[in-house]
Amino acid sequence: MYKNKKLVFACSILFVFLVVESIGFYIGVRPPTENKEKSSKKSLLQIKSQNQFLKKRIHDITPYGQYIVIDSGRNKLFLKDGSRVIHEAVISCGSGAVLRDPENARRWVFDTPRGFFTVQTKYIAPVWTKPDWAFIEEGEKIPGTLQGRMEPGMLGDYALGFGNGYYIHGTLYTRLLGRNVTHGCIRVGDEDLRTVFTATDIGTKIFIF
Amino acid sequence: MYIKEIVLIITLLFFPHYAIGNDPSGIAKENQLLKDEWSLAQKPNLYVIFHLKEKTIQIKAKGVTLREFPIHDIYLWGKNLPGSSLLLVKKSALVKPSRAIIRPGDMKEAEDVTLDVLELEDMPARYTLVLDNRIFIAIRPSEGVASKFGNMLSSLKNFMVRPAITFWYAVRGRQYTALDLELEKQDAKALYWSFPEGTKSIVYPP
Repeated sequence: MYKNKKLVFACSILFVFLVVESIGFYIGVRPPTENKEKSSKKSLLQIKSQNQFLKKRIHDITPYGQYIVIDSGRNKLFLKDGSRVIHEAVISCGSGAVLRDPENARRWVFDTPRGFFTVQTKYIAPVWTKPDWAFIEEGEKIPGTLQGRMEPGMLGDYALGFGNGYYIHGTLYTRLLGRNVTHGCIRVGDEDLRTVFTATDIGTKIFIF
Repeated sequence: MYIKEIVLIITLLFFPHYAIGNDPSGIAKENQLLKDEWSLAQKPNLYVIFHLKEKTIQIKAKGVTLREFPIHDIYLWGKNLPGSSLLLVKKSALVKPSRAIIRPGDMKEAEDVTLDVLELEDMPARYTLVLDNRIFIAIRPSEGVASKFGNMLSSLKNFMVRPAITFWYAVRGRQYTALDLELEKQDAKALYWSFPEGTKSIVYPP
């Protein structure tokens, strides 16, 4: 009797499990539910032609003139004109590391921002104004004067600003090109930087992904 | 002479639905998705398009395709893909890549520090993208014996677990939709890298 009870219990569990699985399977693989909304033949044709129009409109979006595409994962910069790549360079993007200020709650994540940007500033022989994180990272005291923050030569020969303190600039650490080592800026080798700098103007589009 | 044109006119007269496509709700859904894609293309943020019919995934910004990945295999469970853009709520992986923490002063002390940085190679190739509206997209690597064995185990697990989850969702009046996509290993990693949480996406049904 006891043995039978156990068997009945096991069979019941198995039965419930199979019922649940069958219903779940039916719901999971059945055809999609049809929208019962009745649309007239005319409106359907209109929607279809609108779809064709939208598809073409989306497909035809290509920036005019030259623009920059940055692949932050593969550390590559592409200077493009329409769909044509006119120059390709190995670069360095953000390291993704995190720095916390030990004295207060400030925190920095060194990622290269992603999305759409434009060239906002162009500098020849730029001087780096070291931000607070640069001193904290090196365990140094943050200077009280602007003079104490200036560091010439660090950004190479040219810099292109694209907002929020981020730049495409040169580097002293050329052996690290191709690796994700920066604090969010985009480091480019000297020759490639010259090509990019001369090819772009204020307002040139930058796409980063 | 005009046989083709006559046949077309007769078809349009007698079978207008067949002539313009046989799924009115599908056309309306596509219309909404295209409108959503157009509105995403007006914003400066990245967005991701899953074209299940064309078997491609596109990373886009401002309407420009920045990178495209081919999909090797698709399996759709649920068939209730919504007709609107979806937000990536969470990326879930067995081992999530972690960010390095910089200790102040470390960079100055050591001249030749070992690079502890987050790179493409650190990204997982097998993970699940959880989109809003309870859409789960499982990304799996396609090449290699180990990957194929892993995919087989994963399919077996899904075969057992998914009906139960679907039943549980149905009891609560919800829908459960899951997509399994097989990509090249490097493409899977690149998608993980370029598709951060909070990014919008659009899934065009197969």
